[in-house]
Amino acid sequence: MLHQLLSWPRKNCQLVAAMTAREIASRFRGSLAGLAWLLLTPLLVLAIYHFVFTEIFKARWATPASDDAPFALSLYTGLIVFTAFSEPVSRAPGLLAAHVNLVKRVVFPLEALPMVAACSGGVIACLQAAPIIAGLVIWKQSLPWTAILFPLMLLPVILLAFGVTAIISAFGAYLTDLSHLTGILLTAAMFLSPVFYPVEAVPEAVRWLYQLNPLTASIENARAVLLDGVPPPFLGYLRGLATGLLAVVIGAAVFVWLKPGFADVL
Amino acid sequence: MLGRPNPAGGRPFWALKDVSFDVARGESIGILGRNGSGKSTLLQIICGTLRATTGHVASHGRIGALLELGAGFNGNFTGRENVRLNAMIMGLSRREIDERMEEILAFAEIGDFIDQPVRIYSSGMFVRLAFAVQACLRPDILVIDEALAVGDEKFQRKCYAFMDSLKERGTAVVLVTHSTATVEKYCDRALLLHQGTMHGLGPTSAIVNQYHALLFADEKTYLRLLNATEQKSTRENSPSAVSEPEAQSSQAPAASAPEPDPDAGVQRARISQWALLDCDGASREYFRPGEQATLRFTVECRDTIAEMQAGVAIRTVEGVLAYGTSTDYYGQNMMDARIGQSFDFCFEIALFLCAGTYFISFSVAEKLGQGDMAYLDKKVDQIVLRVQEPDHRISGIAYLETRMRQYRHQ
Repeated sequence: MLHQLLSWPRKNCQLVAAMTAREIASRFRGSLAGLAWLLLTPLLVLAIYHFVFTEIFKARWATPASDDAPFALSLYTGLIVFTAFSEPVSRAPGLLAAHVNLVKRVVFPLEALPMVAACSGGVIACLQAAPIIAGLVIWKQSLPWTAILFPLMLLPVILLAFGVTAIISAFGAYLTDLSHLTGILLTAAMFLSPVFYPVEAVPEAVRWLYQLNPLTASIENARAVLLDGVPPPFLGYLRGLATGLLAVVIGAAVFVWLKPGFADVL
Repeated sequence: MLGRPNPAGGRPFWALKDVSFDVARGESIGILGRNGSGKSTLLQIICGTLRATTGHVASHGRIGALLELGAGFNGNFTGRENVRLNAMIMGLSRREIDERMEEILAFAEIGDFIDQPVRIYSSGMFVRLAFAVQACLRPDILVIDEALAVGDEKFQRKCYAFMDSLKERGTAVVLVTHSTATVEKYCDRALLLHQGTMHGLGPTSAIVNQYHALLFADEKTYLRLLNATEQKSTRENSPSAVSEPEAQSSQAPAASAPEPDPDAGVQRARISQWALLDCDGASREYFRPGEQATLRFTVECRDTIAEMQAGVAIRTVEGVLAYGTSTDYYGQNMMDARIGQSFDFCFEIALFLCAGTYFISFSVAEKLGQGDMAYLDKKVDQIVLRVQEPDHRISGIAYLETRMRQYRHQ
């Protein structure tokens, strides 16, 4: 089983890469704005959130350290990192049903499907970081060298996204209720992650809850490398990576366990 | 290999039961059966997309499968991109795909549309591309589920020719089709599935006849056929190299029926004697092309039969139907047959056939309605006909009178 897990990437990495590229391209093929939607969507969402939070809630970023970074940029960073997780997971319940041909009519390594979902989420998040770079150049007239570490900060998120997507998509083939449950799960995750605020803003008593959330570290790390120019804490990063790898192993195991029955139930 | 139950509530439904067979390298097997007999389920189990509830499948080598038209194609991507994707799914590396791309495109004959999104393709283009991808990638096992029927005849012939070349290289082919002509021409063996169980496995001609009996004969006749074929296979060990007759490929052809077992149930009519006669009334085996021959057989009636039709089929040694006809086509069915009456049916045929050996089969059936009938008795390959060489050398099956003229242009 372990041998299968280790040899899988080598056999199928070309397939996953090709499918990820196709998936990203297909989202915007045929639409007028094309890839521009990739950036437009988070920017529009950001504009709305920014307006609501600063003008209506009159919120502040609430920590002295990140006071220099504009509220918008911090919020945006958190948003795109979180989206790298939430987007594949939101598609997870119906993922296999959407590719029912690949389940029943084609000899296909189905584990590639959650992998492609997670990878495309990661790639899109990297693309969406472009406005941040632009914003930084405008605001600070310089770019911190740590910005290049951003994809690495995303890695634990992608691994986690794969694990969760694999589990949810595998169960989702059997239980259609899962789509409702996933929506709630993601909304909860969004508010229990430091997307709209830094983790320091959370009262000490409940901060442990946020520390449990693997996304917290990645969001904070992303902010650190992009906006503060500070590399992430080494051990903390490793711990996030380990959590991600654990998610991969568990997710793959669950998926492979449930795989034989997919063609029966779809 | 066994079946799997339907988990959608209710009683368990076994889609397949006790199905077991082997396919060797370079062998092709055709799977016949009515709709709902479990053919597609069987193919999915062979390909590994469906898991059998009990039993196992052992396959060696790469499987190329054409299970559904357009499966594995993403509509928004071009034909070329889909070829790449499918090839990658089959496990080929980028380099291998590049090497094969030209061959695939040449086979599919899509032309410039190859760079257009696949969703605009016609179904014929779909199947051409799908087959090209699966076959040109040289699978060790090729599985095809009725998808080829969508292509036009020229393409189908091209596909089957390609499959023959794959077979020579050792590919095993598993083919599901409703076209018995295809099975007879291209498959080495055939399997008959009915309601999930194997009703027959063996040489194509025998299975095709069994399939036709299953489709058109009534249950008693079919069961008699099954019993008789079992007895026949135990009695005679040598498989018959001769094909079983067909009255007409669109009508119900005869099933492989040896002498009807005298104890087997009520036989409502019986063919008691038969002969092939020349114009002088003498029984003969050798005829010259174009000569008139009379096939005459006697039917004894044991029951009231409202409308009785008689059919005759002449087949070559390879089993190709050279000619078939029936009294039904001429509107000359025998009406109102009573118990104890006996009838002679005479078919006077001008034998415009090429030289060779032919087998004549004949049968009587009760006409039940438009296009429907039930066999009463049939004799398969009971008469040997040998047609001698004509004055001019010809080849093929039909002897068509030809006059040749030549002109030289200035």
